[in-house]
Amino acid sequence: MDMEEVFKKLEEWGCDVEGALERFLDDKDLYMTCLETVITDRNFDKLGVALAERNVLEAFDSAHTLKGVFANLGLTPMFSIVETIVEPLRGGLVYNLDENYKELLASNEQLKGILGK
Amino acid sequence: MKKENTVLIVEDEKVNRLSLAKILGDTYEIIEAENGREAIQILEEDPERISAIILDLVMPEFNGFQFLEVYAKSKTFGMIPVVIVTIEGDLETEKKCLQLGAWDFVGKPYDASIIQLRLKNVIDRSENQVSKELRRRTQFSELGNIYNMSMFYYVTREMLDRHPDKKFALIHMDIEKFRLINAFFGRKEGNELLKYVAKYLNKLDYMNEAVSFGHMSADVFGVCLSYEKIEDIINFMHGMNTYMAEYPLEFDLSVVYGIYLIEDSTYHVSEMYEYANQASKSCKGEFNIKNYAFYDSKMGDDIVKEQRIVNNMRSALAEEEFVIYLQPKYELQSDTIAGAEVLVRWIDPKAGMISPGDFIPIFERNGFIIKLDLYVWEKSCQLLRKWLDEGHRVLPISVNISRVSLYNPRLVEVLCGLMDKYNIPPELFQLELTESAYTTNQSSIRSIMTNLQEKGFVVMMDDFGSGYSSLNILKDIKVDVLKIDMRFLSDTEEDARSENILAAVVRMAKWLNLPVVAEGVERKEQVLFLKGIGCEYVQGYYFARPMPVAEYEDLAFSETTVEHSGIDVQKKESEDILNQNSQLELLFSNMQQAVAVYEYGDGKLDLLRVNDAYFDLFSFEDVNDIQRSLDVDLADDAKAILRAAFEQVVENEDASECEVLRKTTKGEIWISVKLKYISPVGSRHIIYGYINDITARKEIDAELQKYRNALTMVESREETILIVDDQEVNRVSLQCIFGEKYRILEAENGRQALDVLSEEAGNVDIILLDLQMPEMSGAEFLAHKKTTPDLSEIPVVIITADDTTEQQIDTMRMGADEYIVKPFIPEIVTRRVENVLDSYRSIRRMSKK
Repeated sequence: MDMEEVFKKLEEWGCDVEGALERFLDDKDLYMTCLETVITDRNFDKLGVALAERNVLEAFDSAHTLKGVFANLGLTPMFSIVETIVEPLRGGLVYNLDENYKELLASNEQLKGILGK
Repeated sequence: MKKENTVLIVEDEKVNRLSLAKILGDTYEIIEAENGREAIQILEEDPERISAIILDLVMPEFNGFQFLEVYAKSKTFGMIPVVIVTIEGDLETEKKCLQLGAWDFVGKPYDASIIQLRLKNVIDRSENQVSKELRRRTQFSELGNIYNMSMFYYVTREMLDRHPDKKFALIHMDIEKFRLINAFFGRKEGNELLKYVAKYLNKLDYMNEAVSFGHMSADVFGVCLSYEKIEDIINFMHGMNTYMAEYPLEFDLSVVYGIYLIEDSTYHVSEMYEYANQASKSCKGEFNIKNYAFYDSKMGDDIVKEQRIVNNMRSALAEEEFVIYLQPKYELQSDTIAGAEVLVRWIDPKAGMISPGDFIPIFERNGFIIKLDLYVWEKSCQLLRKWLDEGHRVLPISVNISRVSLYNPRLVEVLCGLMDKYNIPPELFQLELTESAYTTNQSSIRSIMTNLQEKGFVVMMDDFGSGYSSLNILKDIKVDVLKIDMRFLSDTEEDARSENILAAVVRMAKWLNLPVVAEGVERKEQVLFLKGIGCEYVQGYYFARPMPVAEYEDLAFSETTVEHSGIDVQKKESEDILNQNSQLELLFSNMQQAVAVYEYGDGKLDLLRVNDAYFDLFSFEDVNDIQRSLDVDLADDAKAILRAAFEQVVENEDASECEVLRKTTKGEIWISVKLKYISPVGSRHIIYGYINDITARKEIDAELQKYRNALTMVESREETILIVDDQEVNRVSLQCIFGEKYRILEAENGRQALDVLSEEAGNVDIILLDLQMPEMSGAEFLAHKKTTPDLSEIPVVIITADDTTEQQIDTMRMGADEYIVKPFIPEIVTRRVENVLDSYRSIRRMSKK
């Protein structure tokens, strides 16, 4: 898929592609590489396991890391979802986050779709 | 192109590392670490290479906070600036990071220009700091804002050249026992103290244009001060001392000053400084009598001597050149050994015996005494163990705990450890603490002592009476035994006065149930006197010098008591006692105790022989007097008691004793007579008698009895203070101080006071007495009170305007228990009066028991 087309789809989805590219000093290839890296980030799985085990600290670390990555990559919709997981975890609440987690996985699927993976 | 600076990115998320590397890669060399631990490895390997660190906080394994904790303590990379990347924006997190030494923050998502700007700033700042730091290091001490030694020499030289017309003094200042502060409170506390001193010196700069100062080494500061009069220098020291006294540390802080008055300012500054240093050394270790000294050209010799001692002390300890000596303590009344004090001698293979007076003060100053103490304690334990193993009847030995060792927070642990290691009952290992140790830092000493006593140690107060606060100390600190040095007393000009003081101390100790050991007993008169006042134990050259261990063992383990040895020998060879040429004669006539040999039979008593001590006791000059005295000097009832004792000893052929009052040329005395049966001679019997003067004990018994009686009457009621002062204003102010807690009675002079006392009959607990009053003065009142049995036991606190030592002694001589000074300071007045009341209460409690 054409890189520009991907960026366009991301913008349509609500991502801040322009801001992200600024961070990558307009290095579009590097940006693409990073986007392709993020969809397989181990923290998606780690977060799932930690939530299932009710392990607040590990769940927080993973969600928090993802939040930073999404912020840097301008993945605003994913950032908003992960934020709904990070904040309860920060307060020590690990219950009732399954729905949010499913939503997060779905958003990753959507990203994969956009990237044609 | 090789980039000038290298940045270490510490971030677990690859995407973030990539984007940071992208942002910074053009300007900096980039090194990446996936977590804190990896970053530390990189930094430790090559800290010089890294110019800045970018740190993520949330990482698995070893997170950003953990990294910062290591970073904050690191000497190798703690100077490298750290920029935190965070999406927290959380004030608490930021504060925590800053406390741990982070330099700045950037948020996520990254803003390239902000990151670059912040990084550039921190790197610039740190370079700036490094060069500044280098400059500082060549001029300033590690304390910060104060010159180091070479800079001090330099600016002092310049100052001296600039003011050729002024007089200058070079002062060497150091903090006493600073090493101990470092050892016991930690280096950080020590450094804080040094900075505190530096701060004061920095203030001098503003006050005096001709002054220079520097931090010379560890705890030593150099000051060069212009002066007109010597008082200027004294004032400087006074100011410093006052400032030091304000420092919040549970430690007796004092500064020692060595002063060199510069005569020829062309000398090299370092040379002048060395003179000041010598002066300083000359005034150390004299029990803080003097904390400053001026340089005098004779000082060089002492320094050499001291240096020799310091150079050799460690090897001497290793080579066991420090040798234990024991000085026996005797139970005075029975003349038997009651234990020994452990003393240390330094036997140098080359120099011979070095006097403890030469090396102990030096060791106390440089802290080596801690090692020596420990060595002596251990050797003493080994000795006790050996004696126990050999099956001897082991008498306790006492070791000295130097003041310096008392500062060791682990003291109790160390001593208990030794007891465990050698399996020694702590009551055999007694501890002597010098009185002056109690006057500083009482609260901590008290807790150490309580702790030691709870563990079973006997604690003796050494050199009692050498400090000013002795009497007060006894109430606050519960020692088990008092030691009084006779040499301290013989310093005073009037013998009678020192005897009074000693007698008062012994009496007071008896009230408090404290045994007294008199040490430094050198003369026969002292022995007789001590016996007379009821002192229990003695130690001194008169009885035995400090001796090597083997000699002590011969003495202690072969000795049966004198009383026994006398008797045992006499059973075998009773004639010897009567034979003036016998070997026993020497023993007999030289015994410290009054002894007599009697012949008794058919109700008739004859004296066959007496020894010198017997003469002394009854002040006889002629043997004929003695014979006559048996009939004349005893009252009829005393005669009956004495005869009954003789009848008893004849009947049981063993022993008996009695106590009687008898006349002497000096007045009446109470004596105890212990009789021992020796052998029959025809129808009569030879009996040996030991006579002791027990007048003092009897008096105490009588006094205690009075207390006991008084106690039963007064225990449960409200306590009453009688204020005797002609000035209404004084009475009113004392009324204000005590009125709430006590019932107050008032009198305007001694006469009125006597009236009040007779009305109140036994209800007054304490009298506060002014001295200058019309009609009947305080002194007259006291004289009257002393001779009136019902009044003599009421404690008196003198009201005075004169707070001198002389006054204290006078007050005591007049029979007062304390004094309070005008104008009244409520806290002090209350404390003193309550102290006296407390001690009387405790006497009452004891006598009740």
